[in-house]
Amino acid sequence: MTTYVLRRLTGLAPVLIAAATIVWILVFFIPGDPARLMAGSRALDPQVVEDIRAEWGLDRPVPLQYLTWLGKLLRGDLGTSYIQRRPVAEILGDHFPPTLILALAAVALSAGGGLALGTLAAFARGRLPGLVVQVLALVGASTPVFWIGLMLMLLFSSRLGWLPVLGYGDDGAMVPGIGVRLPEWDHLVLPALTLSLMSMGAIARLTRSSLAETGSAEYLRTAAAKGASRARVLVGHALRNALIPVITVIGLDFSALLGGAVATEYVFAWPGLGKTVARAIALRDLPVVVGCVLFLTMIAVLVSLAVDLLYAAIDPRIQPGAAGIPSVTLR
Amino acid sequence: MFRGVTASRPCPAVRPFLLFLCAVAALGLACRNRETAGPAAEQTFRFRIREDPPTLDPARAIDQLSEAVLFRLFRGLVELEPATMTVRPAVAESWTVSEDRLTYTFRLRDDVYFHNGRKVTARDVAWSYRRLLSPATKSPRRSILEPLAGAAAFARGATTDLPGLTTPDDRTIALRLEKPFAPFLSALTLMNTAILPAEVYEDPGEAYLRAPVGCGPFHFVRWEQSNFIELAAFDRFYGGRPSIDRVVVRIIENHQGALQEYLAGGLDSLDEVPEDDDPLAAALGDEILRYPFIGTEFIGFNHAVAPFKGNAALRQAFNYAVDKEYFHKTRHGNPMANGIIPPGAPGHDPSLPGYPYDPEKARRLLAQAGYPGGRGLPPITLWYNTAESLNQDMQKIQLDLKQIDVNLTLQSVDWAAYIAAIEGTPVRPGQAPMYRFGWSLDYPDAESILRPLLHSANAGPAGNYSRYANPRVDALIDEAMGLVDDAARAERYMEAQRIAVMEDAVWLFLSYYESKTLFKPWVKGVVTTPLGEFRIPIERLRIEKGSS
Amino acid sequence: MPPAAPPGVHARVGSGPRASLMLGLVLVGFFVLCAAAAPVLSRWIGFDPLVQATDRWTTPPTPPDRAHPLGTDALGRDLLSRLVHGARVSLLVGVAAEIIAIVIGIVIGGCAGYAGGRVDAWLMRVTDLVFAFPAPLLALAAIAAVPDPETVPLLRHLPEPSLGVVFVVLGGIGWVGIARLVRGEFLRIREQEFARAAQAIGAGGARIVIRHLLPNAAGPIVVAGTLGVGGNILMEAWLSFLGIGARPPAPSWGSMITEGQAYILSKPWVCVFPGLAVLGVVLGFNLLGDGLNAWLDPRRRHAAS
Repeated sequence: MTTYVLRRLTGLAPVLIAAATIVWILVFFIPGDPARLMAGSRALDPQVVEDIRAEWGLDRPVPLQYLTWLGKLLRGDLGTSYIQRRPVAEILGDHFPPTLILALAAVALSAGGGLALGTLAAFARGRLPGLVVQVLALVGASTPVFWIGLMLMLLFSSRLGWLPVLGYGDDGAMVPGIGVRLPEWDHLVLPALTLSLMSMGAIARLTRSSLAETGSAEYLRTAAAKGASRARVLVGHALRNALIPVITVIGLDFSALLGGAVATEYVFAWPGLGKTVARAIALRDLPVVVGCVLFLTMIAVLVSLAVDLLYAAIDPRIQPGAAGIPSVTLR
Repeated sequence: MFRGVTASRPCPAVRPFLLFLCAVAALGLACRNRETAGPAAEQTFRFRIREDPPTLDPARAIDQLSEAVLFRLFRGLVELEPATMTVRPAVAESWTVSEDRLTYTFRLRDDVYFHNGRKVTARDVAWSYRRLLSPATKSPRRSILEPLAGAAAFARGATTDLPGLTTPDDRTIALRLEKPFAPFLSALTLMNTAILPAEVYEDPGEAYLRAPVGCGPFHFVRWEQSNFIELAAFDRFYGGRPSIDRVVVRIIENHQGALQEYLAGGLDSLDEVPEDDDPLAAALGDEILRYPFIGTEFIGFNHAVAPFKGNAALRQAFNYAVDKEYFHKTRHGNPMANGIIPPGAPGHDPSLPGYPYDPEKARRLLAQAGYPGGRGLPPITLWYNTAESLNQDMQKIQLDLKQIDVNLTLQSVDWAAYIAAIEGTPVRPGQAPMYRFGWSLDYPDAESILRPLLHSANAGPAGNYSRYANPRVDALIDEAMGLVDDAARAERYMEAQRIAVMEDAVWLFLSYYESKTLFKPWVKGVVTTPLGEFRIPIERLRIEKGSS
Repeated sequence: MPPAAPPGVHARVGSGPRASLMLGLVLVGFFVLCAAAAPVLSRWIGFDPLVQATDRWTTPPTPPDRAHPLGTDALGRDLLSRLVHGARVSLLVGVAAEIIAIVIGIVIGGCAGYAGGRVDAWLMRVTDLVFAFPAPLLALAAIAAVPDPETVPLLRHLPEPSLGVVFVVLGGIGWVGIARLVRGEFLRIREQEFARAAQAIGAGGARIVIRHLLPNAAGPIVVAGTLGVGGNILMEAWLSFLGIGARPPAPSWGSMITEGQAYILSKPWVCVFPGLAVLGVVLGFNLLGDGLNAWLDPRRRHAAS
């Protein structure tokens, strides 16, 4: 097990550098001059742009710029934002926590809702309720995140007035020690719900099929007929099996989750990383784009490693790495 | 078979789902009416900006979002009275201008303090001005001080002497110009000339970018990136402590969300209003303020490339083909533009005929231009930066030009690619044959729109993206700059405008801007200003929520 | 793969798979029909999707009425007609991107699965890398890199070059699932009798791949592809929502949602209908994929769907 983890982690470094290089090249060649953008949005003296270009070394040959950047990266320096003039690591520190909190809340909601819906569907399989639940689950996975966000905002905030419209709130508690402020919890509800809907459907589908496949539903029905204590034992068994779909979907859907997060962050004015990267792309803030994408790629690799390990932990029959991730795209 | 069992006794596995539903319902109930009023005495004013300000360094700020914050934190020697747009004292209590219009002598107030408690002196002004001009600062607005004697050499870094700037004593600062520059005082009202405490702004770590210190009515509290910026009233502000205790600048990109947030009470003011025909607009009634904004929206033609190069008839045909009244009546309600200089700036000419909608005339001119029925026209692309409201406006222009058989391709790209496509380099024209642009005046003087946008010396990135070059217009702009008499200057500007609009049809003229702002009824003391919604002085606002 | 069913327990065959197949077919068929017959349909509706239908001084968007069953949009263009044409944009991008993804996926997965060893290890490392990329952000950057698709050699000839960029980018990102699937199928089938038999009688490598391996992998590829089309359509809608997908005036549902957003409080139909259209077509593809999965391989009826 330990060797496996070590092997995966050592394989990580070249992959990340390759990833960062690809993004660096891609962003570098997007038309639009970062020096020009640093100088502001108004017309101006071209000399100022030249001065800024020289300040950031953007006037040097491209391979040299790349090597400078790579050298810094290997020393663990992600660089400095052109626009904000502060370290990319600091920007990550500001914007990753809100995205993480949003994602965790969404995962919790989708796991809870998905397991419940999937269990319901498994029990009612073959009858109309089963189909209805299945279709409902599919609807969640089929709805554009940004659109459902607008609709939920319209319904729960503007029409019913139950929840705040948007924002992170300015009054959440500080997490001691790391300087991260939590969102006000009621501000979190709608964004998390919006983001949870797409994977909720996928989890529900997988839960249903896994319950059906292992026959747990049949067992449970029989057990329920015979007495509750037996049933409780089986629920444990069923839930453990049901965790596999949850983990699968999280592992598989990480990038979709992130895409959803960008849209959710936009709709609900959430100060997260997705929105920050999108804006940095628009501003040609190369260090921020590359640094953040690199960071997110690393997270994704770690997530998939964790998924592998969790599979093995839950079901001892699966060897880590041997199972891999089921190979059907789920978006 | 097992139906009865499942139905009569909730199966244990269903429980998580029920719990989940309960949790959601509980959340909903708990959040209802969470209107927590702070200490009764505290007055908070919350308004919205779209994105994080690119910078809070006054020397580098060049956009509205930065100014929306900076004008609360900083003050310069002089400022514009928002309502009338006349120059009035700020940190300087008075000033004199020499007979030859070359020397400006300012006398500072005795009661001005920085937010860190230190008193403002003439040395601070001198330090701030040198910082703005210094090549190390790389300020895009160093040109404001370039009229100073010796400024050019100083800005190049050739010398550290700046003979145009002297401080005879702690409360006096004298500025001497190389040659007369009529709008100099107006230019000094720009926030870039704000007075800064050297002890804060000499920091090589640039901590001031995240914690600016000035001498304005509010002091900086905190900035949570992409979330909000918080300011608080400055007790020792020379103009008296503001009535508003706390200003929260909320950063909300999605304007529909911002509108709903305003309606829900999370904002006291919003820089966008619902479309004017909405039942909602009617319901909002007096909360909507509309007032002129000194700026012009237009579609630029690239005069350096075919087909617009040297073809005034074609440019006029396009002008007549577009139904500008439609924009006014059914799109945004902004007044139609008959020319370049907007109302409120000297040189605006209400009697200029402009180009009213006339598709027949447009067709005739198109034929005259050598493209009867649109035949022979190369493909023309209209570039604009991605924005949902622009999308619809540009599609309307596309539809209108289709009426005279001109096929327009729309090209919507992000700001960076857009700038690259229209500016080109000083020698090479941009690739966009047509581009949508808006220009707001930095200060109420036609100089600040005509020179950057139309003077041939500024062709390319300096502002004249059209690469328009007419020696007569150049001469008029240059002549006006040195004139003392305001009426005589306005005359030159009107003549330059007449040539550029009626003879050369330099752009496709669309509209003059208008600000549209929502204010909650409890916000009192709003002074609207042609400088835009973000220049409304918050220090003069009061919150009067009343007991009801 | 999730663990196999314990011996002695049989998955019950219900009406679910068949129903979702039928429902999916109906939905997808409906939208395909809309897309195919869009010009005819909009003539029948009576309004061109690109022409202002309301008169000059009527303030759009106008609510649904007899002439415009779904109302008009912010410029007074018939919404139904635009929605019908929007099906073209969505399906074109969704399907074209998936075809690109399938081709890349088969080539990479096939090479990895057939060759094995070093080649396999390297190709899978590339696959893992692409999988780990934050795809949506990559798409944003990649599309921004081509601001002027009219000048790109191949895309230039498409009726809508901006859409070409979108589907090429989506296809270039979306092949990972297919590649893993193809590789997995190859590894599985390779071990099976007939492949070994074919090898034994001396059939060449390419022959084995084309005659034996691909047909056997076709089922799962079709299923994954169908589900992928739905994903691509969602992605295109999202990109257009951000204003970087389809260029106006192309009636993309995503940009219609953006344009309708401004009216959501008082004239919600401008925003609601395009959203429902996206939902409908993606739901159709998801149902179809689900149903196909069960139908193509009854043994795997309830495997990861």
